Parts: sequence; structure tokens; C-alpha cells
Amino acid sequence: MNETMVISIPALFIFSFILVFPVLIFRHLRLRLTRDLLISMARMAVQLALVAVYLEYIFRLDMLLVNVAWVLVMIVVASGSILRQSLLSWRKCLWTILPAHLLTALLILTGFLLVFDFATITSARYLVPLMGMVLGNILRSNVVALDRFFSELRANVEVHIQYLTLGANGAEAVRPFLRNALRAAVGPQIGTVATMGIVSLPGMMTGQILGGSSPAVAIVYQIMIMIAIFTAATVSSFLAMHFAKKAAFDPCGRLNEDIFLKRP
Amino acid sequence: MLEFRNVTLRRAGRVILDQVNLTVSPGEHLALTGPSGGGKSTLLKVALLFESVDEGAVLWNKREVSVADLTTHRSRFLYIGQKPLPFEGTAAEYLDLPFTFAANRALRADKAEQDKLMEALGLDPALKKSPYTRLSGGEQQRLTIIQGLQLERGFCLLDEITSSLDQDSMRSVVGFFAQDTARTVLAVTHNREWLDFGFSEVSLESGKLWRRE
Repeated sequence: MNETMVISIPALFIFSFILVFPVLIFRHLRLRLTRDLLISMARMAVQLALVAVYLEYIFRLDMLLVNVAWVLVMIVVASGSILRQSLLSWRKCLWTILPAHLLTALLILTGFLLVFDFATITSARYLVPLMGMVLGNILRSNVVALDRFFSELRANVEVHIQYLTLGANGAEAVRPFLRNALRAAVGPQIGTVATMGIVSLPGMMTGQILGGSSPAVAIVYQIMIMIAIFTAATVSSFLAMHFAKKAAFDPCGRLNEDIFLKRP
Repeated sequence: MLEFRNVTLRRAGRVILDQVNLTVSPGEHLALTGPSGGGKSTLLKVALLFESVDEGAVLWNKREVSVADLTTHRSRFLYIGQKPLPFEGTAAEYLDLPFTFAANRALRADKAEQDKLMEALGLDPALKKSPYTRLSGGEQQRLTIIQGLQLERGFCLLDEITSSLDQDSMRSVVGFFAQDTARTVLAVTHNREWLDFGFSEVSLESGKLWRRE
């Protein structure tokens, strides 16, 4: 395999001066975004530097237990971040949402086992980036799903009551809300998948080609990861709503307001 | 027989219902009137235990209703709100929706009865083939009423069900419930029509309930 050409830190520093252009445009339009932009960029650099340090360490160690533990940490962080962004209480909902993402991860791993042998998929070099890509890409759909699910339930209390009095059980009474939320969460992704390769060259493929893989190898990985991401997004959004609803209602079918964080 | 006994309900420091006492006897037809925000809809939700009370109780046949008999208690009522349910499918499928629920598996939709109810409320039975979302709000609302009526519940809790209907359809809906002496009806409304059709008026104003004779 050809090695990727190494970019030196001074070279990267010099490259970063290209940011002058967005800054100039912001100033021209009197948009007060310069400060935020610089802080975000700095944060990203520091975070990625830290990731590089511990990934380097995990890759060198490459122990099954450590790799699995690392994936578990990613799952917990993903669940927490999803709850925070959908304005749900960490304390009340983490334990109900976490199983949704654990089950999803298990499903995807089982899928990967059909493609890779056990030793390969559990090695740090495969497990961490592949699961990282899948988990990173389901955040958005989970946030949309949970946010839509609960905001519609709160705005349409009467519909929920009407379903329950018509004889629907708890699961039947939330089904219309669940259906709408899932459509909002994963519907747009179906469109994105359809334009892949024409509108955008996906990140994973780009990385692999730069890393020296042939495009033929890279697209197979890309197709596999797209299937994995879409499956994970749908399954995890569905399960997250399904589990969250258990924490969301009291025995009378009323919404527990204390699972929500105060809206700003 | 449904009874609210000394029901007081406060939300965010406001008194929504203030020592409300009301008994609704079988076959009675009551129109619950009063200004918006006066607690009318809340009272219906209290009856179904969708709102918890701070003081007082809801009784059915003189026995206090508890969370344990929630399912049985709710199955006595037909609750209809002011908006039709969101639904994808044909009008016929919408009418059959309650029969898809596990609890209603033993029941069967009676197509002839559906047609009869549609005609009674001024709807052409041929509409059943139309996609539900293509129908007007008023048509959807009347289908929602029919959807519930099929379940043969003896006690109707109606929350401003005629607010989106035009004059003619409103009269057919109000007339239908007025003639239906087998059912007990408690209808929240801003509409005098219900009183013209012989409903007795109960009024709720700033949480206080009083009955006009």
C-alpha cells in the first residue's frame, strides 16, 4: 500500500490562513461569527489531537477487551449527546435509551461478521473507525426522531387521549406519532443515499483513496458503510422512541413533564 | 352515573377547577358552556383520569374511580376532540381504525351501520373510498364522530366537536346526539345550537361550576 503523504504541522498552520476569506466575508456583511468560527476551529483541532493520541495508544495496544470497551464508551457518549440535543433529561432517560443503541451496535457488529472474520473486525484498526462512523452518523436521526416524537405528543395531547379512549393500548396510541417521527428522521437520508457519488464523494471513500486503496476497494467499503448507517439510523431511532416512551408516560397515560429539560 | 365530587385542580399556581360538583345521570344531555380557559376541557380530561386532581374525586356509580380500574373506566366513554385524527389511508380504513386495536379484536365493523351513520350526519357513503387526507376538515370531523359512535359506548364526552363544521353539518351532528336518548352526553361547546336542541346548560366560569335550570 502507498503511504499517504504526511502533512507537516507548519504546513497545516500555513494552510489554516485560508480562513481569512470566511472572516473577511463575515466582516463585510457585519456578521458576528468570526469569534465563534475561530473558537470552533481551535476546539476541533484540540479534540482531534487528543483523539489522535489515544487512538494511537489503542491501536498499539489492540486488545479485544480494550477495543470493545472503547466502543461502549462511544455508545454511552452518543446516547448522552442525543438526549442533550433533544432536550431530554440525562438522569431520567439514559438508562431507557442506552439499550436502544447497544442493541443497534450489536446488530451492526453481527452484520460486519458476515463480511469480516472475527479477528479482523474486532481489531482496533477496523472496529473503532467502522463503529465510530456508524455511531457518529446516527446522532442526527435520533435527535430528529426523539425531538419530533415528543414535541408532537405534547402539541397533540387530544389525539393521544382519543386513541386511548378508542381502546388503543400504550403502543397503539403512540404509533401515529412514532410513524411521523421516524419518517422525519430517516426519510431525508434515503434521498441522500440516492445522490451519493454524483453530488458528493463520501468521506470514507475519500479517506481510503488518499490512504492508497484503489477506488474499487473503496466503493465496496462505502456501500457497506452506507447500508450499515441507514440500518443503524432506522433501528436505533425506532428503538430509542420505543424505549423512551416507557419513561415518558405515567400509568394513566399522561406525559411525565420531568423527563424534559427546560426549553431555553 | 358519573360524578365529580369537590374537584379542585390547580396548575402553575392557578386554580383551574374550584370545588366542582356535578352529577351526570344516565340519558342526560348536558351542554358545558363558559369562556375559553374556564376549565371545560380540563373537566372532561378529569373524568377520564387524564388530569389528576388536587382535591376531590371522580365517581362512577357512587364508587371512586382509581388507577386500577382505568381501562374499564375509560371503555365506558366515547371521547371526541375538536380536531379529526391525523391518518393516512382511505376514509373506510379510518372508520375501521378502532377495530385494529388489540382490545377491540372481538368487535367487527358493521358496514351497513357505517353507511347509516354517514347519511345521518350528511355524508355520502361513497366518500368511504376517498383518501382521508383529501376530505375537508368538516368531513374528517364527522367521520371521526362516526368512528367513535361505532363502539357503542354509552357515555359521550364531546369537546367542541362542532367548532369546525358549517351550519348544516353542525345541525345534523347536534340533532343526532339530541335524538339519541340511549346515550348520556356531556358536550363542551361555545355554540347555542346545543341548547336549542334541548341540552341542559351547565356553565364553568373561572373554575366555578353552576347549573342553569
